[in-house]
Formats: sequence, C-alpha cells, structure tokens
Amino acid sequence: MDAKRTPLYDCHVEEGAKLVDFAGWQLPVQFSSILVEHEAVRQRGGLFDVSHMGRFRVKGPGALVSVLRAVSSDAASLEAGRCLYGLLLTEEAGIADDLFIYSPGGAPDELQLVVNAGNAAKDLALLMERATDAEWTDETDDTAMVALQGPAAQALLAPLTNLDLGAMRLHRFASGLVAGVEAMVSRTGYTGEDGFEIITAAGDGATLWRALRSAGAEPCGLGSRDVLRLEAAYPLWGHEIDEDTRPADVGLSFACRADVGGYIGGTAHQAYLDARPRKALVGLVMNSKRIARQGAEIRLAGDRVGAVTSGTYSPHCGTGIAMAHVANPERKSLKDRRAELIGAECVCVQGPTEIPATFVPLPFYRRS
Amino acid sequence: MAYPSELKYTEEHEWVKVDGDTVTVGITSYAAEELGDIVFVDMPGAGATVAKGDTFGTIESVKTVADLFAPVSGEIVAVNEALEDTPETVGEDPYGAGWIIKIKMSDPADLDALLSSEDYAAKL
Repeated sequence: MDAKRTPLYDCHVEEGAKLVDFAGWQLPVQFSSILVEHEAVRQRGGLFDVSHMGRFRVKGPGALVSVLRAVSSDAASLEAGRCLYGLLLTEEAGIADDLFIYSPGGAPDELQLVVNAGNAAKDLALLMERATDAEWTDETDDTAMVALQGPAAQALLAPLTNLDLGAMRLHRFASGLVAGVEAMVSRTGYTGEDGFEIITAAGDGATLWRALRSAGAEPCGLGSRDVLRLEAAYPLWGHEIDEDTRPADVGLSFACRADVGGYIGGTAHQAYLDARPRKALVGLVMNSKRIARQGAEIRLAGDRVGAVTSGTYSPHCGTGIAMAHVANPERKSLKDRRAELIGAECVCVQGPTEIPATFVPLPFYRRS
Repeated sequence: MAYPSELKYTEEHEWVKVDGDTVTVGITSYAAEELGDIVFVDMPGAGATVAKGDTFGTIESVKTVADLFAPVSGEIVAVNEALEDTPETVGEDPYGAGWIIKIKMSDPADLDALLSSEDYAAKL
C-alpha cells in the first residue's frame, strides 16, 4: 500500500522537504538539517506536520464510561477545555499505546483522543471493542494537525488568533480562529519546549501552515522531533514502550489512576507495580563520539543487562545520548534501580563496536 | 546532484580520485545528503593497511551510522585530521575539504572495478 499524504503534502513539496514513509504516511524527515531545526525549536519556534497522528472522537451517553474502561488515566476529572495523557493497556498491563484525551465540553457524552499513527488502526479496534453506548469516529483523514514548538511559539501564534493564549495553561485547549480558519489549539507538545498543537479541517491545513510559516515559524521534520523528544526523555511507542513493557517499567505509573479495577489492565498494572518492575528505563550518555542506537546491547561489568531503546546525537549535551531498558533482577522500585545505576559506567555493544557510556538521570534536557 | 566526471565511484557511495599510485577517498554528495548532519568520522591512523572491501571507518550522523569501505587495497598514507574537529565538512564539501583518507594502492588493478560518474548516477 502506498504511503498516504497528509493535507500539508503540497506545502512540504513546495518547501523542498526530504520526505520519508513513516507509519504509512509520507512525512518530512527534514527541511534544512536536523541540527538547524533542533535549534529553531530550542531557541525560537519550529513547525511540525503531525497530521499522521490518529484523531478519534467518541460520542454518546456512554462516551466517558467507555474511555474510562479503555484508558488508564482519569478522564472523569477532565473539565471542559482540558486534556490529559493516558495509556491504552492490554489485559496484562502491556502498553498498547500512549495517547491524549481531550474533553471539549467537560460533559460525559463527548471526548476526543489523539494517538500514535502506527497504532491508530489497532487502537480504534480496541476502543470500539471496549465501548458501550458510545460511537467512535476516526477524524484523522478529515483534519490536519500541526505542532508549533519553542520559546517564541506564543508570540508567533498570538497575532494570528482570537484566542487568549496567555490564559491557556499547559494541557488546556480551546477552539477559535487561527489565520482565519476554525481550529482547536492546545498547549501541548512532544519537544520539551513550550508550544501548541493545532487541529483544523483538512482543507484548511495548508492555509494554517503557510500563515504560521509567514509569521516566522521554521519548518521542522521527524528527524529533529526525535532528537527533541529524546532529550526531553519522552517515551516513543516501539522504542521505550510497547506491549511487552508496563507502565511501572518506564515511569508511567503516574498515568494510571488509583481505581485499577475500573480500566482494562489496571489490576495487572497494580499487581506488577506492587511486585516491582522486572526492568527499568534509564538514561545513558556516551563517553565516546560513537552513538549507541536502538538494539545495542548493554553490558555492565561484563554481564548483558539490557538494550538501548533510542539513541541519537544530542546538541544540548554535545554528545550521544540514549534511553535503554535494563534488567531489575532484585525487583527494586524504578526509583531505586535508577539511583543505584546513576554514575556507573557500562558498554553499549553495537555489532563489532563497543561504546563506553555512563548512566545518567532523565531527562537530558529540561527547559529553564 | 553532481558527480564530478574526473572521479571514480563505488556502489557504497564513495568517490575515488586517482593521483599516480595514490587515491583520495571520500563520500558522494548523495551519501552526504542521505546521512544528514554528520557529527563524527571514525578513521584509522595513517600507516594502517586495508584490503579492498574492508570496513575502514564509520560516519555517525544525528540520524544514523554508516560504514566506510576501502575502495582499493593498500596502505593508508594520510587521513583528513581536520575532520576530528569539523566532521560536518564531509557533508558541506564532500568532494573537496571533506575528503576522508588517502590510500597508496598495492594493486592498481583494483581501479578497474570502480564506476564512472555516469554509471554511478545510473545506479542511484
């Protein structure tokens, strides 16, 4: 099957972006260079096409109850205009996906979800299977979504919208006009910077993109997005999280509400958390100029203890960084397992290459 | 993208410039473009011997890592030490200041297997 085009495809071609197939979509991997785009987001304002992400809406008298049953976080606490991170778990508490829940009216009869592109079809099937008195619709193809990220994001967006961005705190959203088109703007992102994500009708996507570009937002691709999220230590499905990884392994127990009997995978999550995790997500910085990538084996005092889940060059650290899963044979808490490793040196074995590295606290970057 | 006609090429996206019994080796503009931002070039020291097809070094970019393969057999007589501090030169000027190593050939017949600029471009 040919990769799908987002509503912004023509904009990317006009800008001379280098396109790649990602999760079934043709998306820009870079416009200028990963390093330049990374700097744009850390210093100014970068603009990403994230239209590939799955956008679903659930309506009906059972909408909230269905989401509460399907997703780990407390959607019942959502007031109108607020959004919340959550996990879709398997019965065994494996992470089927991570996502955001949006409550447009604060009412129990309508919610929106944004999920990972690569899992969208699987997620929708799971959500439908777990639904009662509620109808799910997939709005992905009818809408476009962009992320405007960086310290200048609010200053760039404010002149284009009638929304009061200054009053919009983290994980809040509102609908209004942006560049003359109707849009839903949320203060969310995946880069470690301040910023917004904006959803509009597919047909209005190009207008929105071009207006933000004219306002000074710099176009950014998936390459810099990966470096930015890794510096901020945000997990990526298929790397740090997957169905063989549970929330307690990776520090995502915060997204699992206390009423564990109320959502699928909750009871298994609690039992696993109580017994303490079998593995731990940790951070590494490279001690050579080589960079350990996903799959590199980690050896500590000669023993194989785990594997790298993501690795890249970090402009912020000026060296290679990685996140990794390491075994936790003594079943310590994630906090304690991490604490005992911090400062220890290990070797990342990648094919014939051995890359020395040191365990460090996460994240690698936190905005000041 | 340009592939200078005075150079010879390998299927591994390297270029070879012949000067008597010594060749200069670098990566093509295609390879540089595919790798993106280059952050490290790992090279052996001068004096090492290499056999045609052997991995002699690696290039790390933000995105990925690529091996460098010896296009001919011989002794490495020079490495571009400037790349230690400015590895990005490989991407910015792949056919000039971004050269990587010079090899003194042990068998000039190795050159026969290399591609012309046209043949290389046709394989992309």
